[in-house]
Amino acid sequence: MDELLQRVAELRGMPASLVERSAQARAEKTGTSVEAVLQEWAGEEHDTAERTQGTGDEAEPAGAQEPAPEESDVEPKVEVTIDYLVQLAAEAKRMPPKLILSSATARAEHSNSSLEIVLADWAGVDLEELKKQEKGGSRKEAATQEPPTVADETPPADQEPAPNAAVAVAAAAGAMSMDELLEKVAEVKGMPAALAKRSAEARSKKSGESVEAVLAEWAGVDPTTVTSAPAEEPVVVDDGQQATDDTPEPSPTAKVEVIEASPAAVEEPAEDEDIPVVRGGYPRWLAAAFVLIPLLAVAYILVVPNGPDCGTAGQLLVDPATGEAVNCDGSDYGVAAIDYFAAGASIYSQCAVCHSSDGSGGAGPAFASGAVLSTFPAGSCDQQIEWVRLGTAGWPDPTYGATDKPVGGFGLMPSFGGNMTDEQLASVSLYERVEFGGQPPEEAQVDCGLVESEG
Amino acid sequence: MLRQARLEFLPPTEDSPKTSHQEDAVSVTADISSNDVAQAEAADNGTAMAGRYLLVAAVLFATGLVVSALASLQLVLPNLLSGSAYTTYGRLAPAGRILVTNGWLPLAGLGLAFYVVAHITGEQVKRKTLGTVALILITIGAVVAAGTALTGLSSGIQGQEGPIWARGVSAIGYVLATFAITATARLKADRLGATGWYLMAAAWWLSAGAVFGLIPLTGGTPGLIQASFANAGLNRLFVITMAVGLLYFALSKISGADVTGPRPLAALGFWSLTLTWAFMSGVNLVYSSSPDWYETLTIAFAIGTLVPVVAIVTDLGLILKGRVQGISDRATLRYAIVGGLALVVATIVNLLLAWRATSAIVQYSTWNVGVDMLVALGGGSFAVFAANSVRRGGGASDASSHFSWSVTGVVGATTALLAGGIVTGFSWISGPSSQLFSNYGSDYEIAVVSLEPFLWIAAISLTLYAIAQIAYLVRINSTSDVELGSPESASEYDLEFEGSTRYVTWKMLVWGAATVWVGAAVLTAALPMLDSSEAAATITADRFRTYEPGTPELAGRDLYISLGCAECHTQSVRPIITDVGLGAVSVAGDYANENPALIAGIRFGPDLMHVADREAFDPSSVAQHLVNPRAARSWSIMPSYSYLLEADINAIVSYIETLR
Repeated sequence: MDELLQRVAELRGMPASLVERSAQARAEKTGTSVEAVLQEWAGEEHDTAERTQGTGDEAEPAGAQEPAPEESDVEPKVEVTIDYLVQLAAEAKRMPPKLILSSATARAEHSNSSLEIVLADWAGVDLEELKKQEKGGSRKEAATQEPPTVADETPPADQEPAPNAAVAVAAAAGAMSMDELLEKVAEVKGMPAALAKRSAEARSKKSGESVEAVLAEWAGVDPTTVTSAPAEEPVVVDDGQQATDDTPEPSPTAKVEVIEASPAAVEEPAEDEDIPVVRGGYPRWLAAAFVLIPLLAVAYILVVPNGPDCGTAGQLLVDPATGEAVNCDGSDYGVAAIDYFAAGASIYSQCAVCHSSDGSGGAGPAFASGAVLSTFPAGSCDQQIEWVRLGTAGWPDPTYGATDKPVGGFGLMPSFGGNMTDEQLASVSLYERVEFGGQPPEEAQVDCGLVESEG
Repeated sequence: MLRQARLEFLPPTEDSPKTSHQEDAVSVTADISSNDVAQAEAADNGTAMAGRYLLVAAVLFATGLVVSALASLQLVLPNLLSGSAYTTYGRLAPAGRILVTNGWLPLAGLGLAFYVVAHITGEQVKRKTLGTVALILITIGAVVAAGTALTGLSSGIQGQEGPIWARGVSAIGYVLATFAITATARLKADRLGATGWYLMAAAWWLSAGAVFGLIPLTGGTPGLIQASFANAGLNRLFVITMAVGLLYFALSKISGADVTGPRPLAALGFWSLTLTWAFMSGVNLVYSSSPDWYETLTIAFAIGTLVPVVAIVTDLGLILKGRVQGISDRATLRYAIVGGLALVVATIVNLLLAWRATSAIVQYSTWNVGVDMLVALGGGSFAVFAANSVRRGGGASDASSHFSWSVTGVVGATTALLAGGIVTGFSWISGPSSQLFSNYGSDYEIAVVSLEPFLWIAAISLTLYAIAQIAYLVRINSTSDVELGSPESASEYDLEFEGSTRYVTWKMLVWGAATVWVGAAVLTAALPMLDSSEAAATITADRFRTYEPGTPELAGRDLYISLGCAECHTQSVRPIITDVGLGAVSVAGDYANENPALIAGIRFGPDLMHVADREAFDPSSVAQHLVNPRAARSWSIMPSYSYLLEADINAIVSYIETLR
């Protein structure tokens, strides 16, 4: 026995007396003998030692650290642990336990419910019933449950030791004697009272709070909650590390919980590390985004492997002769961009009053059947524009056009220069010449100055 | 630091009520192998090494910022310091950029990596001599490269202005420092966690990018693709990876969250960041003469950068979730949040720069500078500030004015540059589409004048930012005790967690990083270089753009490079609306006889690809414009080159005449 103790103490780098006490506590809890526990620790140490070495650790000053004894994986009686529930649910749902756990974690986060409740639901068991059955049987489980109210009421610990809070807790604890408190803590934390006392003393020395206040905090003593039913939403700690990550409230109480639960957590690394732990629960749509974004990228490559088509994303065609960027129809950029013919057509509605919409004339002369080109032949669109601009009143000569028509011979031609731009005048002339005169559009555009001739 | 003792069964050896919150978290470690003594020494060494790096880095940073601020002021006050070649915009701008991106960022990143890696592994810094030698080499490399740009000996390759030996010295420095950090990290490879993965990979990208940059440049467009890949490794992939690593470090330390465990989002963010940013070096080349498939690939990976940004931001958010109230170190928190936001915005604007529909508007505008500034001065610098704030013991009360001035500077400058880029882009489009004005010659007034207010805001903001850094540096040094971070102050954050190698083991990290990098180098640098479909020299190249030794044309081209004309003038006509009227669309073969090709990446002035072909071109007026740019065009922001000899002016004019 002593040899075992020494061996474990050496392996753990902690005083033999502490090892003994821890082993006793452990034995008491699990219902095995102290020796068995010690043997287990001594034997199991190989794993741990390997792990330690795996991390490349070398300096391990004795006394500088104080690892706690590890617990055995074998629990003598059924406890309502997460693992147990997972197992039940896995059986019920015929799914692998890992999948069950990850799904349940996600569901729990999604539905704001506890993991236990979800699992019990899936397993088809009554959680309350189970708890009653194992009532008092699993202190470990109890230790991991925390009335949320306590966490809420405790101020963040990184502030200077808050005297108010300490006093309040102490006052609340005042109702209980020191021994009662110790017992309570021992029960909640699942450790021997003596150990709890020492820890509390150490803590109080460090934080400046009284031992009672520390104990009360750990016990989760709160006159209002202590007697009430177990928490509705227990903080489930099945992995010390996960707890660190996931504990939503970094309140000192929660931390204390984790501390005390960590011995349990350390022993099960082999199992726990294989469990895909869904951390923190990110929104579901993120997973969709992680799939959709790469798909979008791949789709982009497939759709436009060699750049966009002309006309999209600002892309133009490159004229093979000149190398310059041109419109998608091969015309010079800017020419087809404005449809002068269409613009002229809409302006012509003003002219149609006298010249009629089909150019057959009325109060004014007809344009149709080439009449407009006989008056203003190819190359003299500028004359036509000038005539429309000035009208009969402003025209300087007695006649106009190639056929020397007398000004005023067909009545009054209004002057449009005042309310039309040069471009509009040219556009309407272009329309008349192309639509009624039959002049080719490209030629008419150059004729009317709507596109620069090449050069 | 024995107070990290596990559980609280023993009385702590040190009383520090202030940190009881963190110690609670410390107790969680449940780590059987606490290395308190070793950690104390390691923290000391890591701190000292980081202190050395950061001190030099800060000096380079301050110098680079002053130079950059001066350059940015010259864009609005073109006569400022215009009497000398050494202070001309084309030389100041690259010099400032080199000091910041090749001096400050690598030194700050590597220095903090020394500290962080030692800190999270609990190991002493290994290969300290190498680390110090590396510091000296990197400093020499950066200073020489900046000096090269200032004295007009630039290689003409943007981002790699220094002579090859100076860049080699830098590269050796990066490699040695990386080697030293890696030697420390691998001792506890399984404890690196998200922080460690990112910082290690960042150091490797830096080294790989710098070594790749030493490969002699191929001529023409392929050379530009090659240079882009090297630059993107240094200026984007490295900076962003480093910044994320530092943000993980800072946020986990101040919040007490464990980031060494298996974090699926961190791992997803890491691998996707590695994959996407490594492959998208061509964002500045979209619509240029590079192969279309290469540009498409770049854009696809730019779309992919949304994955890491979503994953990382969510994961960082989860670190903070529920813990923000408990964080007493608000100064670090603020830096970290701004750094994180800047990285998000940088990712998005980078995507818009590449995405063709938006690229057609903002490419070659100040948007390009805005992206670089967001990465370097937004994400990069604020992540460094945050991590350094932790290193200095956190909660620095003197940080609040530094924070507000820095934020004002970065936000002002980047907003102005991005907004200015959009305005410029639309002004370029409106010319050809309205047929009212062209995008060169005296018509370029519209583009210059519309950009001017934005340039003013950017220049003033950058000046503010520079002043903030210098003021902070001076103040820190007057309290130098804190600056180097005694172990005592640093230890306030000593948390120790059990590591996990679930998603990123050391082997995965090394081989994954190497594979991705090689893949990126092959796919986005080697293949486009080998793509000869358009590489054959065109008539343009053979008739005009061939430069024989001893000719005034070549002398003029050398002056064009030396004076940094390419800082403001592109030589690239793209098949998009903005460039209609600038002449024939450029193809890769146009640059086949040039090394380096002077395509450049920004147009403060008009494009010069076919300047000599334009109807109003007149050699004598070019000479006059060089000597007194504001004689004929009062709005011009071009520096005056009146200090040049007449022969030099004539040489430049002869070179310009070949641009047809």
